[in-house]
This record gives sequence, C-alpha cells and structure tokens, in this order.
Amino acid sequence: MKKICKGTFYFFPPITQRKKQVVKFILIISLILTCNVFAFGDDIMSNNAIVAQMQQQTHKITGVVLDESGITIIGANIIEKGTTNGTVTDVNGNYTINASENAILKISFIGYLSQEIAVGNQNKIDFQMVVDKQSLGEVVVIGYGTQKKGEVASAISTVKSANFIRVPAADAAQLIRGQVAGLSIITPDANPVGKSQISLRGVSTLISSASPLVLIDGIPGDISSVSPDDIDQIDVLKDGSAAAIYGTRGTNGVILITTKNAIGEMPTEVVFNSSLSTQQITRRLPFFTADGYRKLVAQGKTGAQDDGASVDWLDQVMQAPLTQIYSLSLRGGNKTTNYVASFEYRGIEGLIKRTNNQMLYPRIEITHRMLDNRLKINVSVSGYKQTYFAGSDDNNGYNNEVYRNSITYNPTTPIKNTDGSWSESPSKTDYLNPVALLEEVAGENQATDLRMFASAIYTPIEGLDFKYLISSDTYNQVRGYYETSKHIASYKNGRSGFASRGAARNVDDLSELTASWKKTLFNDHTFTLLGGYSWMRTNYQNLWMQNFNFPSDDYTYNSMGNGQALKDGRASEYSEQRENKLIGYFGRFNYSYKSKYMLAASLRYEGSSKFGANHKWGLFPAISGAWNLKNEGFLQDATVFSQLKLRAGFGVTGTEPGNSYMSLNSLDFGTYVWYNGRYIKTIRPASNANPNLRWERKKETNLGIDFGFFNDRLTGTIDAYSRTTNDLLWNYQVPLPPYLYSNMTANGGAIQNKGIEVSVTGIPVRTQDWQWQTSMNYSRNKSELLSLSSDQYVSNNYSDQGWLPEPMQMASHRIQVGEPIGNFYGYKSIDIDETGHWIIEGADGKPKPIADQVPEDKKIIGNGLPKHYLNWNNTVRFKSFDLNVTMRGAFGFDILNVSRLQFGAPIMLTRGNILNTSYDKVYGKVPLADDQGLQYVSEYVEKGDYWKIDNVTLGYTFNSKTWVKQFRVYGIVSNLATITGYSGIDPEVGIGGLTPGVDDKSRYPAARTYTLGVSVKF
Amino acid sequence: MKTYIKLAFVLFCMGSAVSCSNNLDEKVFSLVTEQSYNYQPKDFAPTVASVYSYFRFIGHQDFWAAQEMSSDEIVNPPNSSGWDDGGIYRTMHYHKWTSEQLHVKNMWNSLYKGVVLCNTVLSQIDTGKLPASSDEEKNAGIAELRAVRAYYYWLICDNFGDAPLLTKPTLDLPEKSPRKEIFDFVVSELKDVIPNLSEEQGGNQYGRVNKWAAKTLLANVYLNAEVYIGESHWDDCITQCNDIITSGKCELSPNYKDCFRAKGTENSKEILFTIPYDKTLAQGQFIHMFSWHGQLQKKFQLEATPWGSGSSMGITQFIDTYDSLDTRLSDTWLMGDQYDSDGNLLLCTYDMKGQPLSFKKDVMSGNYTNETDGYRMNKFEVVPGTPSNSDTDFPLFRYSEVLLMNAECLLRTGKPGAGSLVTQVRQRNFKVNLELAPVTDDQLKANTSYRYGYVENYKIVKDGNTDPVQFGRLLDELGWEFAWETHRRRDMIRFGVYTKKSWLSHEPQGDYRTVFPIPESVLSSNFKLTQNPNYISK
Repeated sequence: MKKICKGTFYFFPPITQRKKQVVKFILIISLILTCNVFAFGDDIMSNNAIVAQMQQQTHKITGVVLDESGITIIGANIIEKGTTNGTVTDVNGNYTINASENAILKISFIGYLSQEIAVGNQNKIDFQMVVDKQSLGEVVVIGYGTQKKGEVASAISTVKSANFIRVPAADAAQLIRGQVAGLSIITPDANPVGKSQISLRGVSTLISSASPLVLIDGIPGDISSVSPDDIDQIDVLKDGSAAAIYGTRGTNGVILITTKNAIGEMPTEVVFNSSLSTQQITRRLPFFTADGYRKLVAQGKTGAQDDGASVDWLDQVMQAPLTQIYSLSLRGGNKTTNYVASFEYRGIEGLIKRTNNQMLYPRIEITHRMLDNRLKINVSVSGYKQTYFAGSDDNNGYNNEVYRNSITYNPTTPIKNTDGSWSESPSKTDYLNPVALLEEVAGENQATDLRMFASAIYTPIEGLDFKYLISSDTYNQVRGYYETSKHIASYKNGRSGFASRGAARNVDDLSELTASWKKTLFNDHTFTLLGGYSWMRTNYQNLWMQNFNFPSDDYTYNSMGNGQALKDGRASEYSEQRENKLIGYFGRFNYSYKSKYMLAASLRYEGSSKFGANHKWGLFPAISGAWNLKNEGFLQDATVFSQLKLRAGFGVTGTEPGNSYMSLNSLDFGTYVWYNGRYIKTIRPASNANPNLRWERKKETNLGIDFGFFNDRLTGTIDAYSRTTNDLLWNYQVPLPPYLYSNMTANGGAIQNKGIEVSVTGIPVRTQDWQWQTSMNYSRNKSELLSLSSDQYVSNNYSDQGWLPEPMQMASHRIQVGEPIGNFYGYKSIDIDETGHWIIEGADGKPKPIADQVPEDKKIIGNGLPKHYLNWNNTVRFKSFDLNVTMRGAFGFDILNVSRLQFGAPIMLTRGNILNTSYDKVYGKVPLADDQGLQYVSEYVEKGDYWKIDNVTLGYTFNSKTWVKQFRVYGIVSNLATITGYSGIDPEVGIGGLTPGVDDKSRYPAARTYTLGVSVKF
Repeated sequence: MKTYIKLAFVLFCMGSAVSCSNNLDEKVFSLVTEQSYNYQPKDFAPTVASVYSYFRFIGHQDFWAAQEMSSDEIVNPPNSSGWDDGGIYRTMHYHKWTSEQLHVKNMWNSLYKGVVLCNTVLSQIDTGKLPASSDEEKNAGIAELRAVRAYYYWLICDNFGDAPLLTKPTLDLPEKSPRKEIFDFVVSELKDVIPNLSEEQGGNQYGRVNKWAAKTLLANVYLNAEVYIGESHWDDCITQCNDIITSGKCELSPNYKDCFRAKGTENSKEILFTIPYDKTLAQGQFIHMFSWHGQLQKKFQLEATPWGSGSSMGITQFIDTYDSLDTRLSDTWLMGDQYDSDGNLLLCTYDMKGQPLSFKKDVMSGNYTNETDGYRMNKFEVVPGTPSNSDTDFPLFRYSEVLLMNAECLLRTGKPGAGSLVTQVRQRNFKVNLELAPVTDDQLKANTSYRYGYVENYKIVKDGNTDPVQFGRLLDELGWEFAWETHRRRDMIRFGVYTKKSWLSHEPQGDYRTVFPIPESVLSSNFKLTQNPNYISK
C-alpha cells in the first residue's frame, strides 16, 4: 500500500515510487475530471485529490470521544470510511474532521469496539466507546512476546487495568482476585504486611514453592514489587503449553505483569490519585466479658479468679486505622521519545495498634526510537521503599501473640498493677499481657527494592526483531527489634532487654537475548519464530545478631555492643551467602493458517545450579493447537456465534528445589563436645547430600473452548485440564542406618490435579445511559497423590503434616497416596459420655472413650482445600455513576477451628479466658467436663463454605474542559459481608502448602475496609 | 549490504554482552563441603569427638523418657496447664506405644546416628582421609571410636533386640541381625579395644569412654545377658567389676549429691561415664523445665520459666518404698511447700490458683493430675541464673553401679558379699542414722517393698500380679540409687517386673514390650527390615 496522508508522512517512499505516484495522480485527476464520478479505492486514492475535488461538499465536524465511564479517550482514530481522510483525538478527547454529508465516520481505538456513524448534516458527533473485552484483536502477553487473542492456542487469561479491583492493598494480586478462573487468591488476614496466597490449579508440588512465577515486564519479581497503580495488564499463563517456555519455573503458572507505558505522540498526562481507608474487625469471637467471667468465679469454676478490674483486652489492642494512598503519575512524549514517571505513597495502618506498612514506589521509564524506528531503546528504574513496625523478631511486622492474648487474657485483670507495672503471670504458659506485649517493644524493618532494566530492540527488516534485555533487581533489608526490660520475655528469661538486628540482600541479575521473526507467506500462512537465551543469577546474603542484658532500655536496638550477653558468650550471630544460576535456551514456532488453524510448539533447554551434578539440564517441550471454527465457511454466516474456537495443548514444566546446595556434602563444625577437658567444635557431615537431585516434571494437557454469542454480548471460555507432576521433590524418610540423617530431599512420587474452569462474561444491558456488565467464573480442582515413593526411596505412602500447638502437639493433616491433598487427620468424635468426656470412633468403627485413644484410631475428618470456587463480578454504569460489586465464594471444604478447639473447653479456664460457648451442651447432652483435656477431634473441623460480598465500589466521574480534565470520586467497602456457617472469625483461611484450612488461633484478625478516594486527571 | 554489517555488529555486541558463564557448578560461600575440605592432623580429635554428641538424649521426648516414663518410677501426666501432647507420655506409662511413638523414633535415631558416625570416622581414619599426628593418636582414636560404637550398640541391643548391625559406611539397606549377634559384637569389640583405652580417670577422659567406662559397659552387657541372649554371664560381670574395683582408680564420692552438681564433677572418681552438658554450648539438659512448676523460677532464681505447672513426677508407690531417713529421698525429690528465694510461700497458678504451691506425694492417676500432685525432680543441681538448658552433666555410669552390679551377681550366683557392697553404697546416705545403712545378703533376697497395683483417684483399686520379686530388696536399692538416671526400665526387665506388674495407671500389656518396636519411618523406608514380634506395622 502506498499511502500519503495529509500532513503526516509515516515513511518517505523511495524516489522511484514517488515518480510512479505522480504519474498515477495525474491519471486519476484526469479520470475524475473526465468521468466526474467518485471512485473510492483504498489503495490508490490520494487524499489531496479528494480534498481538491470535494472542497465544496465537505463540512467541519467536531466531537468528543469518551469511554464507557465517560473518561476522554486520547488518540482514538477517526477516519472517513473508504478514504484515508482521518484524524486522532487530542488530549481532551476532541477531534475535528472535514467530511462530506454522505460520509461515514469510523472510530476505532485499541481495546474498544469500532463504531461507524453516518455524518448527515451533523456538525457535532460525540462517541462513547465500548470496551471490546473478548475482541479477537486483543493483544495477549505470552512468554517472550505477544499474540492476538484469536490466535492463542493455550489457556491464558488476561485482565486489563479497567477491570482491576481497586482495593487499597499493598499487593497487586488483589487487583485480579476473582477475575481469573482457577487462580485462587486468598488474603487470610488483614496484617498490613501480609501477602496474598496465590495458588493456580491446585497443589502440584509438595515441598517446593507453589507460587506462580511473576514477571514484571519480563523481569522476575514479586507480586508486591510493583505498585498496583502502575499496572496496565496482567496475563496469567495457566496451562503447561503456555508456561513451558519458562521451563523449570513454569509449573505453578506464570503471571505476566505489564506496566503502563506511553507510545507515540501524546501531550503530558498527569494523573493524581488519593484515597483514605479505615478498617473494622469483621467479627469478634464470643469470649466471656468481665461480668460473664465473674459469674464463673462465683460458681467456683476451676482456675477462674477475679482480679477486680473489667477490661476489654481486644479494645485495648485494636485501633481504627487510617490508610492513606497518594500517587502522581506523568506520561507523555513525542514520536521518538516517550516517558512514564510516577511516584506513589501508601501509608497503611493495621487493625492492631502499631502495625503498619509504608511504601514508596518511584518509577521512571524512558523509551526512545531511532534509526527510522528500527531501534527502540528502553531504560527504566523503579522499585520501592518500605518501612514497617516490627513487633516481633521476624519479618511479620507483628507479634501474633498480641491478638491471641487479647482474647484469652483474664478480663478481670487490670492492665497495670497498682505499682504501675504490667500485670503479668509469668509462670503461665503462653499467657502474656497483650498491651505490654505491644508497648514494651521497639522495632522497625526497612527495605528498599531497586529494579533497573535496559533493553534494546533492533528491527533490521519488518517482522524481524532482535531484543537484548539486561536487568538487575536488588532488594536490601535492615531489621531492628528490641524488647525492654519490662517485656514479659525479659521477665520470663531473667534478662534486661533483648535486641536483635538483621540485614538481608538479594540480587537477581538477568541477561536475555531473543530473536523473533514474523512472516506471512502467500497471504494465508503466518509464521512466528522465536529463539532465545536467558541467563539468571540470584545471590542472597543474610545476617543477624542478637544481644541481651543491656544497661539501659534507651539504646533499644541501636547499640548492639552494649549488651552483656555478647561478652558472656551467650549472644548469637549468623551470616550466610548463597547463590544459584539458571540458564535457558528456548525456541518457539507459531503457525496460523488464515487465522483458522493455529499451531504452536516450544522447547526450553534449561539448567539449574541447584541440581545434582548429573542432572543439571532438562528439556521442557510444549505443543498446542487451535481451530477457529468461526472462521470456517460453514459458520461465517452463523450470526449467533461471534467467536468459536477449540484449543488443545500439552506442555512439560518443572519446579526447582527451594534451596541451593542440597546436592552437596557439607560439613558441620557447629556442634560442641567436651573433649580433652574443654568444649571443642567437632566436625561431622551436615546432611544427607543427594547428587541425583533433579527437577520436578509436570505434564499437563489442556482442552479449551472460547466462544462468543450475539456480537460478543456474551462471551466465555471453558478449560479442562489434567496435570501430573512426577519426580516430586520430597523430604524422604531414608532408613537410618545406613544413612546418618533420617531425611533426604529426593525425587520420587507423583501428584495429579484435574479440573475445569468456566468463565462467562455478558453485557445484559447496554443503552446510552445504562450498562450492566456481569462476569462469572467457576473452577473446580481435584487433587490426588498418586505415589510417594521412587525406586530408591520408599515411604509408607503417607506423611503427617502440620503441627497443632501444645497441649495437642500432634500433626493436623495427613497426605496419603490415593487421597487428595489437605486431609485433616485426627480423632472422630461421635458422642460424649455422661461425665462430659469425648467418645470417639475407634479404628474398628466402634465407640470408645477418648482416654483410650491410640494413634490407629485417627481418621480422615475433613479436607481443608476448597473444591469449588465461584466468583461473580458486576459493573453497572448509569450516566456518570458506576457501581462495581464483586462476590466470591469457596465451597466444599472444612476448616479446623483452632480457636474453638483451644479456647472452647472449660479446662482452659485455668489458663485464661475462654469462649462463652464453652459450657454449651455437646451433642445436645452435657457440656465438656472441667478436666477434659484438649483433644484434636472432628467436632472442631467445621464446614468452611462461604460466599462473600467482597467489594462494593461506587464512583462518580466529572468530565470538564477546564485544566482539570477529569475528576472522579469513589467509595469502596471491601470484605463487606460473608455468608457462612463457619463459627470462627472469617472462613477465608490459608490454602497454602500441605496444611490448608487451619484457622490459626493467633492469626491476625480479618477486617472490613472502608475507602474514599479521588482521582484527578490534568 | 550496510544493513547486514549493522546487523552483524549488533549481534556481535549482544553476543558479547550475554556471554556469561554457563557453568552450573554450585558456588559455595557459607558452606564447607566434604569434597573441598582438606583434613589435617589437628582435625583428628574434633572428628573423633563428634561421635559423642548423640549421647545428649536426655529429654522428655527422647531416650530418657523411654527409660523412665515407661517405668514404675516416673510419670508425666497431663494437668490443667497442658502436658498431654497427643497422649505421648501417657502412652509410655500405659505401655501402649506403637511403632509411631515419638520417643521410640527419637531414641532409634540418636543411637543409630552414633553408630553411623562412628563407622564413618573409622573409615576416614582407615582410608587416610583423616590423618592423625601419630600412630599412637590414631590407635587410641580407633579404640575409642570402637568402644563408643559398642556403647551405642549395647543400647540398641537393650532397647530393640534384633536390629541392623553395620560396621562400615555403606548405602546398602541393612537387614536385622539377631540380638545375639549384636551382643557378641559388643562383647568382642570391647574385649578387643579395652587394652588400648586410657586408664586416666576424669580430667582429659571426662565424658569419654575410657577403660573403666568400657569395663562398666561390658559388665552391664554381661549383667543383662540372660535378658538379651538367654544365657547368664554373672561371673564375667563380676570379673569386670572386680577389675574396676581393684584398679584403685575409682571410688564413691563423699556425698550422693556430688555426682549431680553443675560444676566440679570433672575430676570425680565416681563418675565413670557422663554426658557433659552446657547451658550454651552443649544444650539438652532441661529436666527442670518439664518437671518443675513455672513458679519455681522464683525459688531457684532461674533465667527461664519452667513449662506450665510441670509434669515429670515420682509415682507415689515408688516414693513409698523409700526409707524416710534415707537422704536420697530428699536428694532426689522436690517435696512439700515451695518458697521463693526471699522465703515467701509460692502460690499455685492453674487449677489450684491462689493456694500454696506444695508438692504432694500422692498422684491422682497417670491420666490426669492436679497442679500440686507428685514429687518433682531434685536430683540434678540447677544453679541460679539457669536458662532453659542446664549446665549439669548427666552421669550414665557411676562407681556405685559397679558395686551394685557386683552385689547382684554375687547374690544371683549364691556367693557371699553382696550385703557389704550395698552397705558401702548406702553409708553416705545415712550419715545421721548410720545404723540404718547396713544390709545383709539375706535382706537383699527379700521381696520388694513396692506396693504394686492399679490406681484410680489416688487409691490402689486393683492389685494385679502380686508374685514376690526375687532379690526385690536389691531392686529397691537400685531404684533409690539411680532414680532419674535411665536405669529403671533395664533393671525392671531384669528383675521380671516390667511387663508383669501394675502401677499407677499402668497394667501389663505383654512381655513383648521388653523391646521397643522398630520405628515405622525406618521400617517403611527399608523393606529389608521386619517389625519386632507382636508389634503391628502398617
């Protein structure tokens, strides 16, 4: 095509071509003059010719282009149909075009449905664009490239920023919670430094990380290492055929985060966002109040004692937190150079006093194109700075004893004794004054993450790209924590002051070279070839020191040398450094015939330093195909279908072991033995090394169908998968003897997950003023442990997992061959005897008193992994109002209510306050006996099914023509309501690892969040 | 053409930029690997010494508990402060342990780790990987390692019966060897190495297996030979005991308490083998944490607070056997009202909240107790400022044991002299009432004074087996002398009461319980092993 557009020349055609055009021009002018007819031809019509010819019949048309929420769209294309007469909207969304009365204007913008309108005699035509969610032209980010959605043959879900769930959280995972079928995102508590638990398509690994690989603009990172406001699009590679290009890291799926960018000529856009939030606890567990507790004292209940005061301890440790978020972003540039810069502050306060999390996210990215757009250079610096209160000597930011003691501390005990000291009972196990626990510490954890990258893309000829990317991500953390001499731990351990400091540094270096070549042959055959090399190194350093017995609490953790314990040889210190490398060669071949038949095949050859000497390298192939039935002749005219595509894929992915050096024999010099009259450091092997350590191999088959009806008013996707992981890494019990240690990390065993995912999006209402969009997705997963042995390592086909706190001190779960992951394993309570002691079902199925329990009586008494997830998101727009309601639920699972187990029994009155239901009749017969010890029985395993109205957002948008282009106010209520039969504080409990479904007695309480925010665009 | 030159240039630049090392060998920083470590003669002692570390098995979930909590001497019942822990301590008391019992697994692991490490170090010496500075050092090291290995094997033979017998490093799965083979191996190893072991008592040999420890060990093996292999070796035992007695290297300490002090035991002539403990460097002695009430922190000015209201306590029927004037009663057990270091009466904090903390002799049952039930540990000194780990060493062999073993063999072989040996041991415990110390041979032949029987709510409700115990008076003496010292299970088996009698909430569960089952985790990972008789395996 030879186009010469008015005013803008994209390319200067070679001189010879211009000569030809001049000739054509003359010919055409002659033709027109002669025939006096319009002869529209896309290819040959010169704009100048039309203008020259039709000067009289055209008139000026102006208008504004808005999106569904009334936000102006910058850079939308408006062309007169059948001509090359066109323009783009300016920074205010306005356009001006000259067109004849007979003309049809066509407006298009990427990601929106194109519209056409006849001009007639109108001088002002405004457009409201509708998001084209399932458009075949939508671009999907796949590994090392992009692809049109219509040509994707794997299970990939894309969520664009317009559909993000905007909750004021510190973590990007929540943006897409409930949006991707099969991707479970759980936030088990409201700890401001807590992270979401992400799980894709069930448990595919036993001891390796189950987190998906997160890539931010192609660079490995953490879901929290990017500001949620900077994200433009999140793509989730769900099945093995899509993820196999990432080899050993692909098993748990890949989350590709694309940050906001600027392309082409655009005036500077400034956006300011601000929001304020507060929280309240979703539910208070019904413990005895001071008055209720006094009644127990009056009844002479064993262990109850009236200390005279009335304290609501939970009130004492909770606050009404204030969370503030401010962000400012700039975007702009010209034809050759674009920039994005942003700065964001998130000051999050938690429900428990002193808990907080302050984040600063800076970002600058500059893109420059040169050599006739043949070379694109991209440089970026981003990251974050984080500061949070450290209420304990770890990374939690919070001492989880605080909440637990605030519910169990005697409500009649005064906060302080008459002499001003904290009221404490040091001889009681796990019984600590929660207010003192909060007040008598000082601590702060500070972290910075600096992400830098540079890339160059060279395009020597159209369709051929060479890309080189280099990046470095450096995380630095320094920690400080102090317990004063009035802290209970000082009390209990006879110390005066305890200080701890630590620092960690993690550096990920990446260097990657890729080449891709896209070519269409004979119009119908499109090939894309990709080849690449990737080199990655991770270096981790960690050090900490502790000291105690300080002369003054005033030093807190800032003068470590002042503690006496160091001099007494009793302070500990530690440092380590570890490193690992990952090297991959990869290639992919995509073929599409007329967008009807698609085929993709990829291969990654990857090596990891973590594996044993003989197993460093592995091969990860994948193949997938799709058949776009809609493009077949027999369906082309079937108007009911707007899309219909069948997909099938198969891929192999891997998982690395979590730690380096497991294949090496290391020595332990750390054990002292008294020898020759003194303690000497001895030398002995440190572990059973496994030189045959290799990756876990997961094979996954995925079948899918994408459909659209009624011009895409109803679209959807169904995927079914079966994934089997072989060579599972597991801490095998190895026989001792001959081994020195009874565990060894080795490969063996297999686990299978099968499931189905359905997602449907519809637009039931779409009028000028009203629009209702609704989307629903459902997923179901079934896991089964196929084997827990290999030729070399045998196990007894089960393994007990999890640990219940004292005084149970036993495993909570059992994984067992032939069973799903997540089974609770304990005693099945079936009755209670007349004296109030449990009766359980024995191994022989007959009732027996709990006192006669033997481990063989334990049974599977529930499962903590939800079988079904259902999410339902709705957006309703009325003029400038928008209302978004997201709901989600999990079904078919059980929760071990540890709070009720531990605090719902009269015996625990000797150790503090208990639930006011503790004296309720069990099985409608008698209450538990005062001396019935705590027992892990099925009574405390409750149905966990829940349905949450998770998030309700109401917004109003003003558009204006002044210097403020747009102004939006909104309010959000998160975790609004939960429908559940579960008796604990919140049924949304952890789903991670091998011990899902435990509602820990100390978990940070769940919260309901209220947010008010504004967004201003300049 | 220019394009291709540019293209080549760009490719070259990229190629050179990414030509990073493809070497995937692991780079270590804070690790020393066996492959890279170059052993020097200075490493000889530290490597040999490492085999002792697995003797630190004195815990409420390890060897100690298996020997004491399964006996008629000590029980660890739940109370309102907790202490049920899934019933594992009660199970030991009831003799209802299974192949999954934590104590059994921990004990097996400790003992076999010791064996495997001994084999490894012996092989390192043998192959020259671990050089010694002299042949003398080398030979002494080998002798010591073989003696330590024999010690671990004795405990394996004693606790498990038939078990794997490995003498070299290997990764082949071992089968079980008959108890007799292990017995023979221990005997022949000890006979072989005893001449090469040091005769030094205490000092540099403290905490190590010297000649006297090895002989005490051998005497013990002979003493229990009837249990292990069905043939008696009483005279062989007497020979070993006599060697020790006549060497003049060993003698009883003036005071019973001297062997259980936190400091100054290094030159004891009574302690023949001990587990040295240190609150910082060699942790694992924390009987005070699981026997004592949290309030006792104030009495003993501890740095740490004992767990809950404590649990490990004397069984009433055992306490009742004591002569009330025997000072070992108060030297072993913490009784009665407890005061803080300023002399104020301590108060209870759990189910008896507010009442005086006063330990009562009576124990409600093995299933559940009150806060003040039972006498607690008073044997091992716990000095002020002790954190959760104590400095006090834990003796496994004392000279008094040599005397009492000798006495027992004399009794059993009908020879005279047992009474005077026992009297010798008793004398320091009746300093005030010295006339009560002497016992005669005939007295020692009498039945035990232990009133066996099943207890419910502080009272004996069923007698169970009431057969007289042969030489029961000597068994009582062993109980008083070695309470808390991990002897009781072994002695009870030898005197035939372990699987026959009832005490507290325990009733006989079968003779096969004189050995423990092979831990399930070991059995399931080594198909060549079979479970011990009568134990069920999955």
